[in-house]
Amino acid sequence: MTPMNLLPLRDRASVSRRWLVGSWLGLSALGGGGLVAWTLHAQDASKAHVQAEMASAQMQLDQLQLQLAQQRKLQLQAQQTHALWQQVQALRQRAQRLDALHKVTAQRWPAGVQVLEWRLDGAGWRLQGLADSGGAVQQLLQDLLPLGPWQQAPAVVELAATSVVSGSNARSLRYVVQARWQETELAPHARSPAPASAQPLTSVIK
Amino acid sequence: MVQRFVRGWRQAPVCLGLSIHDQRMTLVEWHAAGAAQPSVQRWVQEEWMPSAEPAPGLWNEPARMGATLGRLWQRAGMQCHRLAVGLPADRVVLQTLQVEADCPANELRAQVNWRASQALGLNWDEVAFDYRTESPDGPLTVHWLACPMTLVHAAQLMSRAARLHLQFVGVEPAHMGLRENQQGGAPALLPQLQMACEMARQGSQS
Repeated sequence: MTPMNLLPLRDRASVSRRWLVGSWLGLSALGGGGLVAWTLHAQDASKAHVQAEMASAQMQLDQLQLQLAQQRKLQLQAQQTHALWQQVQALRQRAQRLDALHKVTAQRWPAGVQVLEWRLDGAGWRLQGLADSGGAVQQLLQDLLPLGPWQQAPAVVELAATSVVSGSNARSLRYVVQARWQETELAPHARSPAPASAQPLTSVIK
Repeated sequence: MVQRFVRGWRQAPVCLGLSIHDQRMTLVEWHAAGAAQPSVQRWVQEEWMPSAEPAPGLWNEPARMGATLGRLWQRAGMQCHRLAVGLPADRVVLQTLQVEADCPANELRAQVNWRASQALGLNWDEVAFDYRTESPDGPLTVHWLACPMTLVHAAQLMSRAARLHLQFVGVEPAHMGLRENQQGGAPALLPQLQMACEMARQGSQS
């Protein structure tokens, strides 16, 4: 049985209120501690998650950089191959034109025009020889014109009379004809620098 | 660890019991070492001679008594702050009244207040009282207890000066024979200690 207490009710209430406040504070501290512990735990978990994501992203970045390096290497190889193909095409075209030039001159030789020297310098060339007359040289030029396109059309550079030796079939005119074909521009990086000892190709026909 | 916590919880002091008589103050720290065997953890007693300074009294010098009580509490190394004070039986009025069984609680309280003020010869707001009801068959039996409010205020001032929390103000049981022992010249240490323990027990139950 509860003993009788002469303490006024309001003071007893203050005691109980003090207990309530203390209990509430204790529970609040407990809850706060739990909240802090949970927050720290969640923070650690999220930190580990972020670290794992960072490691994954770094790995993907490394793989992408590796693939990019491989792609650049392949692109460089493709560019080199393309330049080499262009160079081969240009050389093939030049060979075809030289073959056509050779056929034209062969038709004229030795009837009216005699070729003594071929001089080739890339797309340019120079013919030097003897001719019976200026008309034969002019005819040669007419025959050469369809072999274009030309950057510099075939033209007579030099035409001079020569001394005729008796008893021989030497020609009376010495001529020099030169021209330059128009070629497609090669890629700058595909051009191999010409060696220092490179000289124009010269063929002398005796 | 759980066993240590339970043992510490059971051995924790529950309440302080205080008994004050003419020249002696007895303070008991009481705890329940198991529900069946409550025991005293610490107790201390202060006695003063009548030839010294004017003897401190609870009801006329509560601040001075509070200082003495605080010194006792510290000297004994007590830990509990909840205080139960016992008033001498001759300073309170204990009576019984009967009311109708369906009497409302506020009317019952007003009746007890009026009866207490009449018995003590004080105004209705100058008495402290408490009551307990018994409801056998028939009318309601009300046991009520009352004392001047000044005594309760003095006890509150004293506990505040001693930095303790007043939780219970009860009545010391008259059957323990303190008066008889004092009048016969025998040492009153044991009865007063028992009274302090009884106050602590009632305070822990309130």
